[in-house]
Amino acid sequence: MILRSLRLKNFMPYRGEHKIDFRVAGNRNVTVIYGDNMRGKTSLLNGLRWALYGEVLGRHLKKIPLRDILNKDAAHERDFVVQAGLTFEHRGSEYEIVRTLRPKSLIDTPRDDDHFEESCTMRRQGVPVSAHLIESEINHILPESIARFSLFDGELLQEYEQLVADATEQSDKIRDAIEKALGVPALLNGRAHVAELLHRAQKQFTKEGLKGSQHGKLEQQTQTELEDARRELSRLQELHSSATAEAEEIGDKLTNLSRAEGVKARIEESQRQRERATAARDRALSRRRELAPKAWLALITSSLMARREEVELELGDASSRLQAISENRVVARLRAESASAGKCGICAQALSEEAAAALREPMDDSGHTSFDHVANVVAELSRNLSRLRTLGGTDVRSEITQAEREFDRSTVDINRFQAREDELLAQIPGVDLSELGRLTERRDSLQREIGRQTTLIAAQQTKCTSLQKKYDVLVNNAAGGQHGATQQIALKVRLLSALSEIFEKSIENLRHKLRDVVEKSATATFKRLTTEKHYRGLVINDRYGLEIRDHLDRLVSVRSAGAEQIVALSLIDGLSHASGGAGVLVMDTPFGRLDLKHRAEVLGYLPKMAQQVVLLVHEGELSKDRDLVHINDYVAASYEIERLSPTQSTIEKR
Amino acid sequence: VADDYALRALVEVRDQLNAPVPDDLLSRILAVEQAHAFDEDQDVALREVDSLIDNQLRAGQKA
Repeated sequence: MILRSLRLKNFMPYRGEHKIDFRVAGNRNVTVIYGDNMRGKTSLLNGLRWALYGEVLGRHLKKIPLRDILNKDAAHERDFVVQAGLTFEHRGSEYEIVRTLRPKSLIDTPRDDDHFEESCTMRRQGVPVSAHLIESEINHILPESIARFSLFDGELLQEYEQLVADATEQSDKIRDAIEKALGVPALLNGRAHVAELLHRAQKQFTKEGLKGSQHGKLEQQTQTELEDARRELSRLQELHSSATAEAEEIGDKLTNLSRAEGVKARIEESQRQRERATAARDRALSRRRELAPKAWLALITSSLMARREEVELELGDASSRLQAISENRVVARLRAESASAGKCGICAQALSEEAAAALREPMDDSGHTSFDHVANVVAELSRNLSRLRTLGGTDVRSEITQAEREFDRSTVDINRFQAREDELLAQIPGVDLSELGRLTERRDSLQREIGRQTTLIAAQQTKCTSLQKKYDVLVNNAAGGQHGATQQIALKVRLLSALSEIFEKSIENLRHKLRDVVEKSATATFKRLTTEKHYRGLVINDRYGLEIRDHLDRLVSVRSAGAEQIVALSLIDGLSHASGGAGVLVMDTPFGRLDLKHRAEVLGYLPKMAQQVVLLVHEGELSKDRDLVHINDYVAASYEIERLSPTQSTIEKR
Repeated sequence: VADDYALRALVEVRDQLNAPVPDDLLSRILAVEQAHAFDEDQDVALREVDSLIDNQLRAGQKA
């Protein structure tokens, strides 16, 4: 299969019509589509899947409801028609598939999957294919179970890691898908068909040729026992299958609930932070209210400061003058006392008449008389300064500003936490966490039941095999002595018995061969892609899991994320070689875990992995300047997914 | 490619068992099974295989 074009209308983020042409011209077989996260890369992959299989997959390969594939803006504008048109070439024929989703008649505003109807048309070489044959035709071109190896996202690469782990339900499912890709179902179905035909022939043989005889009675009895045993086996298998399906469903629910628990814890943490921010905002509001009556001071702060400086200077001056006056008064008193006593008041030395006369001379007492006045001035200035300091002692302006900032910051925080809580709540709509305990108990009970049923099924299978052998021997012995029409049936029984044994034993033979081919091919790819060139290669297990062997053929038990990705890509390539390949390889975000050297190795090899390669990548994993040079000669077309709004993207050719 | 492996597996087992089943019959049955491997309804494949076996028996009788 080689893709020609994909046209999407109102499909997920693609409002209106958008088209991509996938060109292959000579060596140029790679189409690169760039898009940042959440722009619509996986939606493009899903557009392909939906066109082919009418199915859209989300994370962990979960089906997305049809109502969610309708573009939100289109729905808002009451344009409810979604369409995907895919053209491709397969074995020389041109195909066109158009899948359409539209509201059922009488539904005005579709809100649920039941409100939509889906239709699909297909043309081969321009000629319409009957509606009832479309699914079968697609299954012949690229069966859905095989498509996972050609239309896959990076997440799927991680899934293959499970193949090397112990057998799990998931690894069994992947193994089954791999065997489907490799053609094992043809032999499995052949075995079932031959067994069914053998069973019918044996029944007919018994009816026609051996009624009434002793041998016939024994045969009939054995046949009845065999049929009863088969019915019981079918009943047990149905119970097992139903319990397994329920356990899987519960497992999915539990995964969601565990995730929801994590989300709820984050919501509660956000609520606590929001409460703290609310308390901080209330404090800021209260402080702002306290400061409001003093706000007028902020307006005269500069005048107050200037006046305070003036008064401080005046007070300093007046205090100096008061000090000088006090000192003069002390000196005058000492002179008068010394002149009166005739000796120095300090050292008691006798004074001459002239000296005493000089001391009696009056001092300049201009300050003496002003002492009280100056003291009053100093006291007045001190009071004024104290009042001014009270008024201008706190910086009201900066305090108000600080309270405003705190209020704004807290308000932003509250809104931020509220938005985060809304976003987290939207992730777990209608989740009832109280179900967690009940579901866990139910799942554990189912797992015990499944274990018990597995044992019973194995025992019943052994019983069926034993009865079948006994019956075969009886029929074959009887067939030896028959003639005419009965002999004809006997020949058919013999031929079918031989075919039954051949098909039974061929299945394991084929699996062995395929594992060998996949291992050799994957090893060759791995050695080409890995930067650890001394590794001996890969070894396959019975679930198609691949283990790395080092240069001494020892198991490399600890593998990096990048190594896992290289092994997974090698497995894809090995499977592609063993199955003949689907022709096209569409990879969504495949380089996420690779370092630069591995990325270069993989890029260099990608164009050779399939006839056509479509890469859906973001700039972070595949730089246009640094990485694309490795495949420049192979790039046939390049596109970019551009964001128009949170709900709309468009595809532009580069 | 996988088709070749399947036929080879059938022929190898047939040879090991020394079963009287011709290559041609194995090849035809396998072709039917491969064509209908992914059909939801397997009745068509079952009928076609039955018809191949009846034809084989008739051809054997004539011979």
